[in-house]
Amino acid sequence: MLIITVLFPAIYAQKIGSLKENSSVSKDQIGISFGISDFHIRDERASPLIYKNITFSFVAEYLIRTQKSQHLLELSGYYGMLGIDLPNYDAENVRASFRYNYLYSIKNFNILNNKIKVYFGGGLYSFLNYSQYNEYISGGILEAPWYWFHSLEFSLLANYEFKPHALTFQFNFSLISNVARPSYSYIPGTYKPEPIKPLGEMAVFWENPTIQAKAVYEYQINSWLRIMGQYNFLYTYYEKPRKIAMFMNNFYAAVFFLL
Amino acid sequence: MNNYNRILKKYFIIIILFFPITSCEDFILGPNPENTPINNFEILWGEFDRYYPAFIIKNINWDSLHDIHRNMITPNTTDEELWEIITSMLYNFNDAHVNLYNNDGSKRFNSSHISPLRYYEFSLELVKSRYLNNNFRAAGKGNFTYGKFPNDSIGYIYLPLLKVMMIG
Repeated sequence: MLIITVLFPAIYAQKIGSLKENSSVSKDQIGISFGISDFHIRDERASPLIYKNITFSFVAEYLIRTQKSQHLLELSGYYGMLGIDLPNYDAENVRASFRYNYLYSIKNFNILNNKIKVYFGGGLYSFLNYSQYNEYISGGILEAPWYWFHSLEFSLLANYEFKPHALTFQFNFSLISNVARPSYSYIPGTYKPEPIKPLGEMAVFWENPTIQAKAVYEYQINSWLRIMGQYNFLYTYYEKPRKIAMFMNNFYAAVFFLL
Repeated sequence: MNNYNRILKKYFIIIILFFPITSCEDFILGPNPENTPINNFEILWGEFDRYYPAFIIKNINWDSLHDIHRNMITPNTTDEELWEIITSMLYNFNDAHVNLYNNDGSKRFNSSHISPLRYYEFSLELVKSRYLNNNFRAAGKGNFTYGKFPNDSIGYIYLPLLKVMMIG
């Protein structure tokens, strides 16, 4: 399905500085993005059908760039109601993620007199998906399926600058994860669903494959401000105790301040 | 400027090509199961097969029930016929916790065979006076009444919260 998006207008402010060649390279950046997330999930315990919808999302990022490396901190949140084609069924869905990446420059070369920098590295990634599935005939599905993991990932990033524009592509792949899932039962003696467990089972990448790809277009307005349009994609999958698989296409408009 | 335009054009094409690949739901998550009588029967049977806890206690041979009822279903089975076939299979549970609703809630089935009329024939006052000899206790704001039959080792507990349920 092709998603047509309208990126939100960027809002920005001024700081001392001048727009010089490479002026942004060694500056810390803080950014915030708002956008939409086209989310699809199949949790076989809740339903054999795919729940989906366009949901709201935001990202807060902090980026430290030097000539040789990058540190990236990223916090994302998502919220929305999911549905299927049938009436009387929906699911309230919340997702959140946290990422830290360290990337080291491994290759520089020029194309058309502009520099391409390739980085390789890795980091930590945590992702939480929480859905409350509802049906309005018999009074509701009382389960609260959650899925969350913490993973070590590797990352590959390519940045192509042609001032004042830049294109960035990043690929992340989880190598090993700790995955927590409910056993779909109640707390003994109550009708309360299980609370989210902080840790679960270790899973290698073929048991909990998680891939992300990101494409970013940046435009540097002045020495302290960049605006961006960003697309990113996430897919993840896990088998226990029932198969859960999901993907999302996220579209953001972002504003980044160079500190 | 021409170079910039060429580069932008190139990457724009890559991104545009990337979208349909990554957003193809069937490719990534697999298709939804087809809405056919056979699929619906198999999914329902499979969920009970995984989670119903009392096959042994109730002496139910779930595999046999599958075979008997599955053979009644063809691709041309109507929704009405499928409802009858599935409810006749679920009837074997005789369990008030087993319910089936159609999509708009206009049809409901409960697997319990015990008539709810038995509840209305019940009198707690009669139990208290005749069987407990008025020697009983109440707790939980009336949610529990309990006592012991005189000259016997049998205890008695009454839980009115279950009064609307037909015990399976």
